[in-house]
Amino acid sequence: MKRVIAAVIMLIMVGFLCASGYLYTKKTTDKLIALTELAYNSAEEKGSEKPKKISREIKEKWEKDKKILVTITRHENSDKLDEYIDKLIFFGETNDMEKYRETCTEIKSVLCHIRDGERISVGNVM
Amino acid sequence: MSVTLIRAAVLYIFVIFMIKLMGKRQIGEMQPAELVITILISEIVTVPMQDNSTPLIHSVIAVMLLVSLEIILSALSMKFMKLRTIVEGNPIIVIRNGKIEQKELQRLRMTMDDLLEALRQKDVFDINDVNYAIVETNGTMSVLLKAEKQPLTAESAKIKLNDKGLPCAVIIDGKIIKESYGDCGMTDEKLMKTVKESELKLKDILLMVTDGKGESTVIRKDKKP
Repeated sequence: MKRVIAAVIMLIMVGFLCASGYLYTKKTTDKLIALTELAYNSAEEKGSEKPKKISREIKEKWEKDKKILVTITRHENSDKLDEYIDKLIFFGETNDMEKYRETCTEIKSVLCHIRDGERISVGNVM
Repeated sequence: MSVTLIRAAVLYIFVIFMIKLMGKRQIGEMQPAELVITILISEIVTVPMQDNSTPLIHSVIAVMLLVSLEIILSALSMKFMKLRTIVEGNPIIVIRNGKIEQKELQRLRMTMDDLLEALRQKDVFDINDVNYAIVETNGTMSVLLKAEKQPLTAESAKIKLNDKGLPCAVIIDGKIIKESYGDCGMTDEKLMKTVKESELKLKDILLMVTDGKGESTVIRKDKKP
């Protein structure tokens, strides 16, 4: 009976871990996607300080969230994001808005990939 | 490198705990489902042990789920006969009243060589000696010999034997095993008396076994050269 109780507790733990993992990933990536979209749009305002500011915000948010996110998602994805966010800051500092926008698209694509990978769908399951 | 070391250690402790939770069974005694789960666990754990880019939690969740399902399924199959039949199957009689059930052998995809080999592993070298042979759900074979071929027992020879009870090791490698006391009615006083009678020091005793009648066998350690 003890084993069965332990098994039921473990099942509950597994359910909790999966649900919280999914919710955390969704919440974090959604926020970062919104910030990235904001950064993309800010690139249209030439000579503005906004792109620099938003890219630093993205970096801060990412550094804060990645501590937990790396325990959920594959590390290749987080490594890619690290690289792209550093690039984004660089292009923001150098006012290279074309590459800044390209990097925004790349960041968004990785974030969408992370979020969609946690979603329960036939494609993901199969 | 050190990350791999820590990950491997964490997974090792985790797997040991999970296997313990599943319960003790020898590989040969496992039901097919249990064997599959055991192999799956080792496979799942291998991936994050080798690849540091895979989060540990992925394999931890998978292993926890498999072990939980296995325990719950085996608990349910203990309660429900039908489920047990579905999960574990039924024992199959391959020799009935000394006659080989060829249809059952075909169903099991068992050749005559396999049958003879399984019988030999049961120390049966002549198939004519067998009354019943049953392939159990875990794949092992149980054999019932014909009455005239069954080994002589004290009961069939009408000999009365004294039951000495369960022999238990009360000293191993100079250390007293108090957990064994209950099985053979041993006490500290009796133990010390036996040790004194053996004219050995406790640290010089390799093994001391006591049966239910209180008879003890003491084996001393070899002296170091």
